[in-house]
Amino acid sequence: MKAETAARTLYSVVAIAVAVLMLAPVLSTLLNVSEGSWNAELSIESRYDLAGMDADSLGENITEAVGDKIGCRVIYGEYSDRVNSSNAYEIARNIKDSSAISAKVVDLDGNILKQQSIKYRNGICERTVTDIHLPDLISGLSSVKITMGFEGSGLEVPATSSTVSDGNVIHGDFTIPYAVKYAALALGCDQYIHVSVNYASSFKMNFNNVLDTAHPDYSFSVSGKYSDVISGIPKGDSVSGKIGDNVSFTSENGVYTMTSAAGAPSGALLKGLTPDGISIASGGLSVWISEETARGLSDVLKELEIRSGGFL
Amino acid sequence: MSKSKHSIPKGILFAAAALTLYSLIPYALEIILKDPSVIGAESQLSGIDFTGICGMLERSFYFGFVMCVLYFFAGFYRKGDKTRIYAQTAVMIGSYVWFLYIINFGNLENFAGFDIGDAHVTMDIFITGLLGIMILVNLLKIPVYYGQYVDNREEFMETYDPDAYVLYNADSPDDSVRKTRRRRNR
Repeated sequence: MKAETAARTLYSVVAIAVAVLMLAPVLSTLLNVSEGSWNAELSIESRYDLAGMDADSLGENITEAVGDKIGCRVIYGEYSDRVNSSNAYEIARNIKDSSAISAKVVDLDGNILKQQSIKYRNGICERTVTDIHLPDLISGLSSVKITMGFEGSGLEVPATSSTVSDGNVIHGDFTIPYAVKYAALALGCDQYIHVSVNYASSFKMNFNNVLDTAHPDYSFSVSGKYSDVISGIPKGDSVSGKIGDNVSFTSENGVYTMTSAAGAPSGALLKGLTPDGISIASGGLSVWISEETARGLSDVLKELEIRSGGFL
Repeated sequence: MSKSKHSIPKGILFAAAALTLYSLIPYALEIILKDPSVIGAESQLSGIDFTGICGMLERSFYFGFVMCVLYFFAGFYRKGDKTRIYAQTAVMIGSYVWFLYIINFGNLENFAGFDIGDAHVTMDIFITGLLGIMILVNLLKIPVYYGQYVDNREEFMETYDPDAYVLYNADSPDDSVRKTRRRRNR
């Protein structure tokens, strides 16, 4: 055999082996890819755990699931009610008054409906549960890391749980305190989900999905001696509590107020910071935010305070 | 009188092939991705953003001109000419730099985008392991270049360097060590 032929054979064998190893997951998927499966999708079955959901957020979830469909039913405990977009909140209150611990929404044929995400709300935080279905072309994912954050603010909250099923369906579960969310949206930051996955052992892919855009109706002002006030937030039940040891908060009539006796809330937050982070508590509810997130919240509040011209 | 050791037509042929592979095909793909109607497709694939992929193809288009020059020299020097090994090695290094350049040195932010309901997902790709694997695969081209040189050396000297060929055959055919040494000294 000629030297060139031998060397070229060796090169071809290695190159083909590398190409096959790298592209095998994609090629095998391409063979099975069907029309319409190129698009990514954010959807989850409309099954609700009622323990972590108030009547308003249940109504909102049912409304999202039902959309403009007719003949849908919501099944909870041993009961079942017809539901549409106009009576969803009324049904939600009935469900909450019952002793049911879970509920699901089905269509005319009894199939469980799907919605983009399920939101669980209580007085201090919002939990979002969703499945991210990536295109069929992407499979064999591992080592997934999901965070939710706000563009330009540096505020990021890791998912409380994230798993991969069927190779390309990522299940995400995020809890984000209102103090963080309202401050970032008042600063004009878009809320996003960031998914980082390892693929075929040589690629790392990040997916950024904008969930909620900044609300122009959110406004920030300073009040009294040391109070930060965010107006224009959704109206709900009145809630009050503490953020760390030095800042107290109230949420009432669409106004979220953070007050401190130890200087501006942005600085007072840091004074109460522990290595584990800081707790946000109201009555029997509490949620921890990490030290990094607390520092991010402090920075956002400081920026808002400077922009509003207060506490100088 | 001996024939020319170099071939401008072959150089041009190699350069044209490189230009097609590295510049014209990526350019054509970029045009199709930006406007599928040029090939008769009705509209873009709905919900998919090819901006990052188009950026890759555009970088390939520009770097293709560098590859075109390098490939010219790989074709310009004939098989069996030692200078051809250097030219081919330059092509090998160039193709690795091309690979690094089109993948933006492993950092492909906003590589592609998908619509999810009302939201838009952007996909970033960070290539890590492939960079090392590509170096190893590229290095395996050196034995190919050298093998080509060894296989064609005698014919090259006979055709383009008769004086050296006479010297090359002065020893007995079994004196392979001295022959190889002379071949190397050329």
